Amino acid sequence: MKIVSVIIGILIPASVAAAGAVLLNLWLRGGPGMDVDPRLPVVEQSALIEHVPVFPPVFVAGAGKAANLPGAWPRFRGSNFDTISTETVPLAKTWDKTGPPALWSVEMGEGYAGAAILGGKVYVLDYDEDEQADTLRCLSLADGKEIWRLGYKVPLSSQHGISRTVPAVTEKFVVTIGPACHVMCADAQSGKFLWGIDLVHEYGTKVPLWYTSQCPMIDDGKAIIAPAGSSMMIAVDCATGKVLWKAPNPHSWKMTHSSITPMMWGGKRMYVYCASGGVVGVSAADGKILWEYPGWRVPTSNAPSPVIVPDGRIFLTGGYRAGSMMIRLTERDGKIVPKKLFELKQKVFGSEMQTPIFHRDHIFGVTSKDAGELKEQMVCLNLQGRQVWTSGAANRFGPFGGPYIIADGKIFVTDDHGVLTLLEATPKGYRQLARAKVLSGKDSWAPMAIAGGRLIVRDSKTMICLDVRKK
Amino acid sequence: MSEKEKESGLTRRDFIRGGVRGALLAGVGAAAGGLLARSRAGDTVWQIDPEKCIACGNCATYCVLKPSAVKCVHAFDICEYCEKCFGYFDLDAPDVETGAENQLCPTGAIRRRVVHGPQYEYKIDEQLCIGCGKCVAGCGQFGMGALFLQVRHDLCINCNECAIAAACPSDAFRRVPADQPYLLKTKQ
Repeated sequence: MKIVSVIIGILIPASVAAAGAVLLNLWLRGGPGMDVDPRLPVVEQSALIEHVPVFPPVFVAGAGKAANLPGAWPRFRGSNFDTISTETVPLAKTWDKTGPPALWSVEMGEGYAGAAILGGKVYVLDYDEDEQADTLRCLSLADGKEIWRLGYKVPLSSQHGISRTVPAVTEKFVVTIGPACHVMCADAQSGKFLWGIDLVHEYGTKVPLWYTSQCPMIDDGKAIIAPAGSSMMIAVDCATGKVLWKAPNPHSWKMTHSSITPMMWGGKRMYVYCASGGVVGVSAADGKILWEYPGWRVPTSNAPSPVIVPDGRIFLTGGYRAGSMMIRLTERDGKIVPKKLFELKQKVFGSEMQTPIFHRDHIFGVTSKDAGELKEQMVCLNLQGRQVWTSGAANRFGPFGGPYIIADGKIFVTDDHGVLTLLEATPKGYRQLARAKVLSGKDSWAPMAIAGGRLIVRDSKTMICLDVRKK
Repeated sequence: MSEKEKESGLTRRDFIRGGVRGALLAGVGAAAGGLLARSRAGDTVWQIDPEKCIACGNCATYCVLKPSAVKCVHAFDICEYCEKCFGYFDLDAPDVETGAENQLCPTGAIRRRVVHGPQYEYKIDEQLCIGCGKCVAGCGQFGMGALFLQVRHDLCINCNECAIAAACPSDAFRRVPADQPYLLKTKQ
């Protein structure tokens, strides 16, 4: 009896434990049961573009002449940074199936660079694929003929196109930012090169995925640029190229595709910029950081710019499931403190590339293609973030979402395939006036420009000027 | 022989014999028809319409083969060779590099290599691909839709009733002629 209890109580458990230990040892020694290819970060060829001095650029005179035509669209989003024309030129309320007449057409390097218009001239930072050069082209608004061009060599390959910014132009100066973050300033009339900055080399800027889309601004003779590298923002005297102030970048936020938007609040003029880690407000006077808001960041790519709404509000939107957000600036203890008012999911409103328009106390924009049932539709929101109307399943403006602009109380909007639609710019409903295919190429994503009833649109390879005036 | 049989001239034995003969003929006919139908079905194969596919993931789990005969394929002429490929990287990936935490594919079946500058080529390792469609969903939602699923006919056993087709929520499975077995995406 005692032997049996010893066998049951000690020998069997001990044998099982010993066998288990042997098996565990064998299992651990045996390694994985199949070949495992560990997925570890590997050193890939750097995507950064090697630094090569590009300035001074090469100037080439053309046969074109500045048109004696009125009207201006001097930068990205127009005179007031709101994508609304300030002109009162009456525009046609409808067109036939062929659309508004095309006045001229110009071949471009692959990309989405948009036009700025001033003094009968059209400025566009094209990419000359033959010369492998960022090329500032000055064209006649009348016939598209080239007046001059100014180009610097920078070999780039297509990443969803190459060019993608709009110049800023005044009577004296024209400022550009190239796809690989080269800033250039030239005399707006003669095309004479004045100065240039390589943001990657001088400020440690990381070129955003698919190249930069940041459009420069000129404010009171100063070029305002966001390198988002060693400095968040800089002001450069257009006449001399001297850097007047540098705003710090304490969190090492990076450059996005968004552009700087000016804003007045509490008697202070400031520049609002969506960097990779949040939104920042920089004093226009001296470059001091007035406020930061890390609560808004878009994964992958923040392309739309801030939309300034009255009463210190800023509407922010993005694609890649970011949705939208309205924040408001408030003051506490003498400091500016931004606060979130509301947030919208992507399926309510989120714009991947284009900046919405604030008009008649509403926000108009096209949703991104990941917005579910509402994808690629034009949406009108009230300032509480509620949908007032949507364009419906039959009226989509995608897949990625073409640009839109307001002039003479009408919205011009394209889809990716060059179909131009005209509708009333009203919160009362989606009221379509006309539609026509005006471009035959792909990716008509470039911001539009309008001056004197001439609307400039483009696809990836062709820029055209449409006469949209009332006959 | 009954009076009725005498009147009709047909005996019960004749009736049974005729019935059996008829049943045999019908059976042979049915078998021949079945064989014919089977032979016609052999002229078609299952395929996924990429325009209808919603990359739900059913292809990975419903196929009778393990791993599935459905694989991701890549239309190079549609691809933009992005540095941040939405078929390769998780949308919220902390970094744009090859660490497993950044990759969308659960089996690491997509390989990438630098082509030129910031351009990358992405290739599918079909030995590893399980047809889950995660990359297809990512590329379709945020990219150009260059990645899509296809039934690979060197693997598919062409079941009469395809289990994936029965489970497909978007009716993307259909039979296509065997001599044109793939529904490929092309640049529009």
